[in-house]
Order: sequence, then structure tokens, then C-alpha cells
Amino acid sequence: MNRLTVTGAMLALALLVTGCAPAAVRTSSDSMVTRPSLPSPKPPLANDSYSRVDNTAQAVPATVVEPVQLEAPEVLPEWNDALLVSLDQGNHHPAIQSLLQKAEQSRQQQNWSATLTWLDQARQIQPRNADVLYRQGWVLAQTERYSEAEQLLQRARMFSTDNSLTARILLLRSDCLQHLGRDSEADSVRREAARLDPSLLIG
Amino acid sequence: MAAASGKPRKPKSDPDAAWGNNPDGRPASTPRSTPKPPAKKTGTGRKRSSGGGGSKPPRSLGWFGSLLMWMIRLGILGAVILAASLVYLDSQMREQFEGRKWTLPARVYARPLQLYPGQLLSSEQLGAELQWTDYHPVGGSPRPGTFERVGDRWTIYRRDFVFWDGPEPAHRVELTLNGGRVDRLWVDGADQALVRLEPQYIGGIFPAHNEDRELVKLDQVPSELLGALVVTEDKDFFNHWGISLRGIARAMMANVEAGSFVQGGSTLTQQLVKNFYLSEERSLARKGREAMMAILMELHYSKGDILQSYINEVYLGQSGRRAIHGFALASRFYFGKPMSELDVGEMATLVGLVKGASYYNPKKHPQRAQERRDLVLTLMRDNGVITEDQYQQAIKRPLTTSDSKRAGQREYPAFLELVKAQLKEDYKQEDLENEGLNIFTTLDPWIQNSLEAAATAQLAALEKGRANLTDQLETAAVITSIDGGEVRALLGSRRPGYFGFNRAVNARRPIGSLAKPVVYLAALESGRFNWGSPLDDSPLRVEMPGAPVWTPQNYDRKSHGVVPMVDALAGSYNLSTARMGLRVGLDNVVAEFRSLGVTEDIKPYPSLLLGSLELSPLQVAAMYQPLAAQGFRMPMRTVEGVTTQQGQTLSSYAASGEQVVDPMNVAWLRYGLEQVVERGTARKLLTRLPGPLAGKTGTSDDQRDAWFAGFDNRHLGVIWVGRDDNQTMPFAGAGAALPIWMDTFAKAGVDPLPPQAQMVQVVVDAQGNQLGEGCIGTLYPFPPERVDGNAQPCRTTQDTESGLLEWLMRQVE
Repeated sequence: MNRLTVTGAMLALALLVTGCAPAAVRTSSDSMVTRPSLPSPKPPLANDSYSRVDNTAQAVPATVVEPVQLEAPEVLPEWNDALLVSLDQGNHHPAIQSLLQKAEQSRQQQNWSATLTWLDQARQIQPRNADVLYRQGWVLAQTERYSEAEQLLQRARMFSTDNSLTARILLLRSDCLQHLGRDSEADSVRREAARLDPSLLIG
Repeated sequence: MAAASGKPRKPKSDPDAAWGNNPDGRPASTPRSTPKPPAKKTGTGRKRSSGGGGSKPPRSLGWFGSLLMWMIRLGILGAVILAASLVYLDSQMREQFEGRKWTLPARVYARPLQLYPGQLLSSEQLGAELQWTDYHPVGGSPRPGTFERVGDRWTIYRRDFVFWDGPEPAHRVELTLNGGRVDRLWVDGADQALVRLEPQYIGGIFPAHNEDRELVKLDQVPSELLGALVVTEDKDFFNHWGISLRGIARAMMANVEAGSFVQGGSTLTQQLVKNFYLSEERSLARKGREAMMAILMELHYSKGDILQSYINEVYLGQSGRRAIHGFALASRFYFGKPMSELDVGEMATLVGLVKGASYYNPKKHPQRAQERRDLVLTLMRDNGVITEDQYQQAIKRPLTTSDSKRAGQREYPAFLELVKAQLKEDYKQEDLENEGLNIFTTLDPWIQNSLEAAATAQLAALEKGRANLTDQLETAAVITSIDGGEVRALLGSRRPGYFGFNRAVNARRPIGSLAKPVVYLAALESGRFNWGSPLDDSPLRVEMPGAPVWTPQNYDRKSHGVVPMVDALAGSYNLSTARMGLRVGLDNVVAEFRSLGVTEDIKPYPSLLLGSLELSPLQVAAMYQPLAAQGFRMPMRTVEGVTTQQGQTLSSYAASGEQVVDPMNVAWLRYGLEQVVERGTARKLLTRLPGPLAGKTGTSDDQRDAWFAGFDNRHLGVIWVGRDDNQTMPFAGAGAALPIWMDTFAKAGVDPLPPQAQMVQVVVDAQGNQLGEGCIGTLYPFPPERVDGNAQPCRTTQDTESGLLEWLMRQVE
């Protein structure tokens, strides 16, 4: 056994010297685990349906002979329009619902000004309704008024008492932040969204 | 003549077909022929005779002949000049008549009253808002503009209206009120979630001549009104060519008989020409021009066109600076209803005004106006415009006009100034004055009315028994919605309808202790203070190079020793606040003012801590807005939307803003402001209103300015009381400004602040240190992130109690 061990050690030393040692032999501290970088700012919201998960999956090199123990890549949820299919979705006070329906009709006609007007009337009836503020933020983002949207979404988040809604508000806000070039803040907000609603990570 | 021979028929769609006439407006029995140009027989005759002699040289005619020749030449010259004048007058008249005849001022509206189940709404408010929007109580509410109340059930026949987000037809709205809220709502018999009443007209943006009018087409004018106008003002209207020789003869006879000018012989066409193109000058030359232009007008335009223009042009009264033109606007002004809702007597009253809008003003001279109305009614009956039955009914009715105090009768100059300032960013002044735009604003008439009533009553109470103060006190106030920054009420003077100095916007006065919340916010944000931190309220002397020594004093001229920070704010102690502010740092305090949106030049002097900063009430409201709105700063907003005259949306505005202060710190500060109301200088509020409420009193040096700023869950109100001559008053903020706030909110409705669940209650010792569980001290709220996790717990309460018991026992032994 001793001879075998010595032989093995010498072989390993030789291979090391010649630079042919397998990766598995390297010490764990050498393993270069890097967090995959975030993709570049995404295209406009209307076309946004891609998933970040797919991109991060490709970050693992395919040529590794023996799999190394990589740290799990951080997967962050991303805003997509499926999170707010229509402005009148959900249950609301009848007066709010009626205004949200009008807002949705205006949205379908791409009349963003009218959409905002209806939503603002809903806000005046229930000024701290996070659902309404969230929708106002969404419309502002659609019209590329990201800074205003981001601020309004901060306010929406303050009044949201539902984790699922809060997570969506945060995701939309992160999207605005990214458009504003505040990527690290956007990541941080995404992490918070994922923590509040892990289901956002699925799919 | 159509008007005289029978009741005129209302035109269908073509205004020119009015009165059953030909397209030119004339009765079918009086076909129109082209007028002949004036004959110039003399000139042409002489020419013919002088030029018809062949080659034979003209015979000398002597001096008479020369004179004749000169007269002919002058005649020809005069004819040329006359023709040129006619051409000029014609082009002038056509240019204006065919172009835009009138500039239309922007019409400004208050916010519409939204109705939905669950909405806070008292019967008193609903009744008042209906009255202000010119609704009339009629059993069964049979037509738009009427309502009926049976107990808590209201039926309102809402008029159609073009809102800034689109037109809405007339609806029959039914609702029940229960416990101060809308309980159920039906529209046209079906359950409905939301409906709104049309907004009140609150003023216009007028050009320099201040003319206001509401344009109508001829087919929108009741036929009885047209008939009344014609039979009263110009019986031959449909038969003459612009001037009526019979009318002139009649007038001349009347004037000769009276020995002075008592009657004019002008036709409606001449009156229109005079109003449109000429001055009020009484001269033959002007009369000549008027006659020529009237003839030209009749040549070019139909009777229908002329009548429609007259209906819209005629001057019918004055409301302050605003000149009331046209029957449509006069109908709203005098009777609070559209023309379509007028009864025969009201139509006659309006027609009676044509002769002298001021002399026959039914609001000022009801007796004269009624006599004139009755005369017009008689003419209407005699000429077949109305039947005998209609006449008998109308003549028996007393003459009543709408309440002069209602919203549509007055303006809100202070608020309008703010509206114009906001619109200036997007619109040219001339567009606002000329294009007939509709401006939909945020003004809440109910709150505005409550504020005005409170201010009037409070100033009268303050001045009562103080002769030297009579009419000396002034006030200004702003009320905004805390979640949107919408300005709901604005008072620029104790006389709300006064077009003068707008103190709410332009009067910059020292804000006194209204500055303290900003100082305390800076202290809380610094991390060095909490509401239990002890503050030294002993006398203070601050020396600064190049400046006089600053020695502030408390309002009661006493020192209060060492007090917890919350007591210093609640009692509005100057000495302790100044010491704390100096520890926080003047630069940090200045930065806090900046973050709250104050853009004025702020000098980092110690006196800043006690409110030497001069701001207008509107600026104070903007500064307090983030304190009421969880640290979210929103621009003050007065306009919701703008539409064209036809209702096409030009702009709509929505709330926007930014988070300028950490909401947790603002919530922390709110505790202190609640204590001001709970047990501090504003505790008087809770004698009438339910709490919690947050607020701060303020009084500047020598009591020259009295302030109060406070908010409930919906609205922020800032009130100022002072003198224009900046003299002292025997009042402080709590005594002069706070009662206005209190009365306003008591009437308009108060919504107490909700509990701040996010705050954590922590025991604090006398040194302001946080103590652990079970320790004895005073409980104060803290944001969770400010709670000291390392605070050592004391013995449990049970241990403490048993320890105390042991100690007591030992003392007894």
C-alpha cells in the first residue's frame, strides 16, 4: 500500500510538473466560481418574455471533464408582462373595478394618457391602494417614464400588504431601475422580490 | 310678419330655416330681391348732356355752369368715396363676421363629485353641491337638472356633460345615504359602482375685455325666446333690409314728444353691427356707418345667421369683472340653468334685459325687471308667441333668480391664479383667453366653502370687541389632499371673491414654529435623538462673529428645565429646540428643508431653527406635504385635465412625485406631531374633532403671524392669520389660525389618522437610552431599525414588583 501510495504521489507530482493534472486534483480553494453576469438591459416591456434562467444555465462550461463543485448561480426573477395581463384583473372595490375596466379599455387602444387618467381617478378614490399605484407605475413604464414609475412603485410597495403583489411591484421597479442604469439596485430589488415570492423564480 | 302673425316655429337643423323661412331667414311670403344700388341720376344726366354735343365746342355756361360742373365733379368724387367706403366697410364686416366672431375665454370647473357605495358623503354636502351645480328640487325629478329627496333616498337627474375623459349622457341617478356614507347607487334603474355629477363652473380665464359667453346655435334656442326677442326689439326684423324706416320714424316721434332721446330706432341688425364693429358714440356719422353696415350685412347673410349672432353677442349683465354676453350664459347666470330649461317668464326677463342690462337687472332691481318682464310677456301674447294660458301662468309667477352666492355666480380668484400658473407651463396665455378651452381642476367646492365660512366666522370673532383690529386681520389658507398633492381649497384673502393680492401664493411671512417639525426630523434622522431624549430648556445665548447675540425665549418667557424631546415639540419650546438644532447642525437642518422641497434662499442662522424663514402658505403646504404623505413629495396640482371647446382632450394630469424622506422617519416624526394635538399647543382640536390628528402651531416674533399646519388621514391644511401692515396681534397660532382649521375640518369632514403599526414601542430611561425588556421607563415608538438590539433586559415585571414589595416592607419595618 505504501509503495502504491508513493508511486501515486510521484505520478501526481510528475503530472503536476508537466501541467497535466486533472482538475479534480486541484484544491477546492482554486476553483474559480464566478457569478454569471446579468444580461444586458432587456428589450422593451412589450416584447419581454425571455427567462433569465435559460441564460444562466449556459454559463456552466460544457468541456469540463469532471464536474467541479460550483456554487449555485444566483437566479433572479425578471419582470415580464405576464405578471400583469390586464389592468382590471383581480378583485377590487366596485368603483375601482369600474375605473380599472375603463383604464384597460384605453390601454387596449394604446391610449396611455386616458389610461393614466382613469387610474388616477381610481387613486383619488383609494389613494393608498397598492394595486392602483402598481398599475400607474406600469403605465408610466410603458411610456418610458421610468423615473416617475420607479418613484410611484416605491409608494405602491409601501402600501402593499400582500407578498405576491409586493413582489410584482418590486420586479417592475427593478425593471425601471435597470432602464435608469441603476443595475445594482435593480438586482437588490429582484432579490427582495424573490425572497417575498419564490414562485416568481419558477419558469 | 312671422313673429307677429303666429307662434314661430323652432328650426330643425338648419339655422337658416328658422321660423319657417326661406334659407335666408325670411318668411316664405316675403321673397328677397337684390337691392338696387343708389341711383346717381344727376351725375349721369349731366354727363350725357355735356358730352352729347358732337364735335361742336361747348358753349360757355358762365359762372352758373362752372358751379354746376364743380358740383358734378364733387358728386362724382363723393360717389367714388362712398363706393370705396362701402367696399372697405363690406370687407371689414365680412372679415370679422365670417372669421371667428368671438374670443372665448377658458371655462374653469371644480372637481366633479364622485358617487360610489361607501363614499363619505353627508346629506348636507350632497344638497349643497346639487344647489351649487344649479340643480333644482322638483318632485319626481322629471328632467335633467332636477333632483328629489325623500328621507335618505335621493333621485338626481344628471345632465349630460363632456368631461375631460369623454362625454357622458344624462342619467337618472338614485342613491341612498346611510351613516354619512353612500349606501347604494343606481343609474337608470340598475346597480352602479360609480357615477359623477357634472362639475361646477368656478370661473374663466378672460382676455382684457373680460367678455364671457356661451355659444349656442339657433336651433338650441327656445322658439319662445326668439319670438320674444323679435316682437320686443324689432318687429319688422324679417321684413326689413337692415334698417327700418318705420322704426326710425316711430323712434323720432317718441323722442320729439319726450324732448330727449328716449327710444332708438335700431333694428336687431343695426344693434348687432354696433356691438360688433362700432363704438357707443352717439353721432350721425356713426349712425350712418351703422346703417350702411347693417344693409351690407343683410345683403351677405341670412336672417338666421344674423339672429344667431345676435343671440350670442348681446350684452346682458355684469358679474364683477366678468361681462355676461349672450342669452345662453345669461340664462345660467340669472337663473342657474341652461336655456332649454327656462320657463316663459324667465325668457321674457332675459329679453327685457336687452333694453338695459343694468337698469333691468333682476337681481338688483327686481321690481323694474318684473315690470319689464310683464311687458315682454304681453307683447309675446299679443303677437301670438305664447297662448293666453301661458301668459296667465307666467304673469302670475313671482320673479325669482338664482342665489348670487352659488358657485356658478362667483369666481375663485386665488385658486384661478394657481390654475393659470400651472397651465402656463403647457399653454399660451392667448390660447387660454381665446380658444374656449375647458379646464377641469382639483378644487373641492365643499371644502372651499367650509374654509371660507370658517375663516369669515373666525376673523369676525377675533375682531369682536377690539376696535383697533376691525377689518385689519387678513388670512390665507391652503388645503391639499395628502396622497396626491391636489389643491382642494385655497383662500388668498378674507374676501374670497376679491381679485387682489393673493396671500396664499404671494405673501411670504416668517413661519415661526412651523419650522420645528423640520428641525425634529433632522434630529431623528441624525440617529442621536429619540422622542425620549432629554433636552435642556434653559436660557440660551448664541454669539456669532459679525452678528448680534441671539437670545431666544420661550413663548411663555419661562424655562422648563430638562424635558423629553417629545415634550419640547408638543409644548413648542424654543430654548430646547434651539439647543437641539444646534447639536444637529444648521447645515443638516438646511438640508432637511431642501429635501422637503423648500427652494428659497435659506441662511444657516440659528434663528432658522425657530422659523425666521419666510414662506407663503402654499410653500408651507408643499413643505408639509411629504410629512403627511410618508415622505413622498408631490408637486401641488390644480389641474386634472384640459379639453378643447368641443371636448377633445388636450392634456390630463396624474399625480407624480418622489420619495424624499425615509417613510420610517416620517412615521416617527408623526408621533411627535400627534402629541402636539394630543396634549400640546394644539390640544384644542380634540375638543371638537376625533383624533389622532397631527399638527403644529406657529407664531412669529411679537405675534405678527399666526399659523397652524395639520393633517388628518386625507387632507393637509395650512392656515395663516396676520395683518398686511405686519403689526402685532394679540393672538398666537393656537388662538387665531387653529380654529379656522378646526371649523373647516369639522364641517368638511375629518378622517382620523390610522395607527402606525410599523412602529415598535421601546422603554427609554430619563437619559434617552433604550432599555431592555422589563425595565422601568417611558415607552416611546421607534422604527424597527432604530431599536437597540443590545439593550440589556431588566428583571421581569414580576421580579420588579416583588422587589418593590420587599423594599416597601423594609421601609415599614
